[in-house]
Amino acid sequence: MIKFIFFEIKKATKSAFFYMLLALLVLVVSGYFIYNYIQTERVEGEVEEAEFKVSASERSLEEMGFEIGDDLYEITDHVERLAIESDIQMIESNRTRLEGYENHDWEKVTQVEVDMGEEHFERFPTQAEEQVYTWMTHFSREVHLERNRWLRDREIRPVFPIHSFSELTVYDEVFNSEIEEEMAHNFNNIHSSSGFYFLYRLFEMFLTVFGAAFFLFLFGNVMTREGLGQNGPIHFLYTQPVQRGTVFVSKVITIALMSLLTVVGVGLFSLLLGVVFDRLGAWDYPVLIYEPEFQFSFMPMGIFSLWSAMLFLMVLVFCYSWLFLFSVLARRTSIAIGLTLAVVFLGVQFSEQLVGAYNPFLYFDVYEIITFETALVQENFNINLVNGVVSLGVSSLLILVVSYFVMKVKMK
Amino acid sequence: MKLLVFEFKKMFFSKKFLVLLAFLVALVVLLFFRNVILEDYVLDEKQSNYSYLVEVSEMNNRTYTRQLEQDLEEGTEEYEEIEMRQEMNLDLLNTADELHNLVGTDEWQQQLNVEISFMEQVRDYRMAEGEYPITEEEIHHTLALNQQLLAQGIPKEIENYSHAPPNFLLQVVNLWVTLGALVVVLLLIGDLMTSEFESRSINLLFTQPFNRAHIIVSKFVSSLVIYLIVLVAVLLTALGVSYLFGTEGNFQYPVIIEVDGVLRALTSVDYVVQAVGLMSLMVVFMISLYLLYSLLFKQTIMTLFALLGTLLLGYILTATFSMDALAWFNPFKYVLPEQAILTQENERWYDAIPVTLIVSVVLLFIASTKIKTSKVD
Amino acid sequence: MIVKVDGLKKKYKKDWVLKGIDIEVEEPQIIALVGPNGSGKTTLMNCMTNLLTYDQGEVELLGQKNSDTKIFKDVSYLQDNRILYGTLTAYDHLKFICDVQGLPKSKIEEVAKRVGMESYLKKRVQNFSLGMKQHLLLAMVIINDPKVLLMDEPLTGLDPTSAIDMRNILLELREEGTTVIVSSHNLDEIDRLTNKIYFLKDGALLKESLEQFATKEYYLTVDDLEKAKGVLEEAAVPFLIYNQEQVTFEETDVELQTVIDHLNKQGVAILDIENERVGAEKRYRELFEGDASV
Repeated sequence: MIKFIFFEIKKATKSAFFYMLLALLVLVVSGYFIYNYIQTERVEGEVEEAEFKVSASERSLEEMGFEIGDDLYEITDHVERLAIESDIQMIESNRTRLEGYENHDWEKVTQVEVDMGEEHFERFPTQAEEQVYTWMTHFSREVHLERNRWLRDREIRPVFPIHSFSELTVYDEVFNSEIEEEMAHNFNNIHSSSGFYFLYRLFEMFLTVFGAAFFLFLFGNVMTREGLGQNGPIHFLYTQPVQRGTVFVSKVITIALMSLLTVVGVGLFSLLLGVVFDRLGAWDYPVLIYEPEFQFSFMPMGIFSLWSAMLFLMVLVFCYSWLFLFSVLARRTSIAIGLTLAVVFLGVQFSEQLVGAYNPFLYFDVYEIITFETALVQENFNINLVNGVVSLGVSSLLILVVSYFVMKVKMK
Repeated sequence: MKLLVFEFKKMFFSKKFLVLLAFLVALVVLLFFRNVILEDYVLDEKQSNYSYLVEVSEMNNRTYTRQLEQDLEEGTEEYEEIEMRQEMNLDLLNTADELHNLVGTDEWQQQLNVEISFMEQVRDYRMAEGEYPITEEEIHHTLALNQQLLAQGIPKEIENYSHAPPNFLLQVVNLWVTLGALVVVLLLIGDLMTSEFESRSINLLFTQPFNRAHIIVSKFVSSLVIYLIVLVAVLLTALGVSYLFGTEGNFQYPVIIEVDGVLRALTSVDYVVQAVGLMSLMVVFMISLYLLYSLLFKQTIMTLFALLGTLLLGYILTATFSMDALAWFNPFKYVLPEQAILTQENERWYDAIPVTLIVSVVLLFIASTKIKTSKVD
Repeated sequence: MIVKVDGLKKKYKKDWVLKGIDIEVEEPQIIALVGPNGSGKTTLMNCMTNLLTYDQGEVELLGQKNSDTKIFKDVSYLQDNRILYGTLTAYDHLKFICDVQGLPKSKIEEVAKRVGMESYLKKRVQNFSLGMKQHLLLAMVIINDPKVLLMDEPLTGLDPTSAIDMRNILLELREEGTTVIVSSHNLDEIDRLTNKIYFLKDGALLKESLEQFATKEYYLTVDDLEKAKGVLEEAAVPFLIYNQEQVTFEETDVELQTVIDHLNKQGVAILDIENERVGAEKRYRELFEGDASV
């Protein structure tokens, strides 16, 4: 078996096309890294902004003829006092931030956000007093506070922005205006060139139907290459002293293994890019996980990426099983790939109402499964990683068994 | 001409084409019966959606009552504001309840009218800083559609679950233009040229006494004809099955589009013609690109990857950079033609027709030149 | 029993392509399988190696059922060159076989030398000529020193020198105790390899080997051809006139001495006697007269 797997790997890797695709992959990952690098909010930018806010507030105080240290209670006008208070607070919080930025004291920086969040929740302790559907909802504010607490407690260097408008959750269904909607999406679209965060963003883009399609092309001819039904190389393999099933199984194992290697390779490459050009980043950076009834938790980003990769590999195996079925049925690469893409496309589009959490097509959006976003939207918390792996695994196995027997029957 | 007939025969009598045709026809029929079977389910969903809205209003109401009773003093500005919001919310509650009860009845005009007033109430309520889980976009869209339907006297159909011929046709066309046609063309022409290189059968054509450019033209024309046959079969099946087993419909049924920020209505016939037209144009572009790529790569899997990659890249570029000014120069605009019709922001749906045509012709020309020096490796 | 094919039948759709084939081989030898295109030679070999399913009958190779893939340690099958992987080198193919069959790597060099393909061992198959591919295919089937070797058209694309080399290798293999079943269109070459030839016609095996009938054909030059014709017709001797100048007949039909006696008795003078082996080609012509092609 192991010999067959090595031989399969050799066959797959001895084509120019394979290397072209890998080169393309490296190119895309690097390109995306450059994009993220450019889009990263640097500390310098944050410093500038804080300094600007300080000076603006100072100017405003000056205009009102107030100097820090003056007695606030001397001011009788209610409105003016509020304005002064807010300016003073603005100056203080931003000075604390600036101190934090300067000394790379990230605990201090996140503490400012935590303080502001806690203050907010003193005034609006329950959801009933706040927005439930309109951005920013009470839920998103809670997430924001807890995220910063998580960062503070673990002394993680935050990825900016971390201000209170940078949170956008599924609960933010409605926006007051189009401008607000755009703003919310912009603030929430956080980039970082640090290793783990970049990997997280890369996987978000890559571990999707598009990623699956890429892999389908990478291994698209693994079966059709053997020239089924036309006295092709399969006859060579079948005249070796091994069980026929070995040929089939070793193919499945080989492409699963090579996909795993590719995904892991891409992961390591992204981390390397981060380390070389920026920093590794924190493996335990928080990723929001939805829970029922307005509850939530966080998952360390490293673990999140690991689970995502795992579920994605199952998605790939599921795609490969269709590819195998269509390969043995149609025996032509283009048809096999085309039909697989068609099935995936139709399945994802049209099977929402079918068999609930055990519908394998539900699990193509890997991120939304692990964050439980799909579960929340579909109001079915059975849609989770474990059920995903099980339903994808079982259906893949079934399709593979069918393919094997189809191949046997077609040996006539 | 003889070559054309030869190429066409190769495609038309292939098992692949016939199986695909049968498969697509079966798929359309299945889709229709899915709509029929799921009718009750969709009505239930609709009803439960309204009950959800009723619940939302009830919850809002409780909050207002508590605020008024506990937190606020009577007579203050804030108190009056909350009081007003509560009143608006109660109106909403009643309207949502009415809508809930109207689901599944025959009083379609009533339904449309009540939905209009409901949406208007939501809009007013949100203007008064009330909270409601319906987006501005949805409000505008529903208002535009309902008013149009009332004006024309057409009952509303549930999108994507209709059995009326025009609406079912719309559904099928939408599937066709969002990736459907792309996949079908991919399956039809996937190895049209590359397999000839792979099996060296192209040498048969290369050793015949005619201009090699004819090979490109014949392959292009025959794939286009094959595509059109499939298209017509799909559309006829959609119409046929819905006429036979469906309910009555109206081909003036409006499709709401947005032109420079203003919502407008297009009749479903116009929409179908535009969408299918643009998609077919895209197919012309795809076939031309495929033929050129197959001469460059001579290998099925590589050619298909390059083809899909180019289309995807073109689409991503189109979607990422809104190229209002460049709309006239973008041959990738119709990868998803639905969007080109539905939202026309400072551009029109027909902008990119000339460039797509020109680029296709240029691609074909390059392919025709290239094939003259083409060799089997 | 080295090879036992018992009542093998196979049909494609409605047509029987193999109509009950029986082959039994007890001693190591070379057997040639001859028949026109479409007579079922490749199908028979594919069925024998279980690459194709069949509807009736049994096949045993070296006393084992052919469904047991272990037999391929001692049974090799030289097939069409479509079984080769274009992107891999010749070495890759041979190494894979060594890996799977647990043969030492030294075998690769050895077999490459024997076949004469050392110079392109490390080159990719897609750049091979037809003959080079044939060399590789041969190397792939003899690397494991098989006890049974099936060969489907092994001579395709070989130049005369290579064909002679191939023949010598096969003769060597026979000496070493390998049973070779070979199908070929090259009847001359077959003649040189073996006189055990099975003819396959329309899916049926004509169970006559060349050993069973004439191995010699005589050509007599006589002084009076017309008279000789009359004499022999009268005596009911089966004969033919060759080239309008010679009387020709086969040894199995009539003894040379008998013919000479008849002619001498009637005073026909024999000027010259030539003899030739009855080749596969002649027998083939007789069997497939009127068939489409060789």
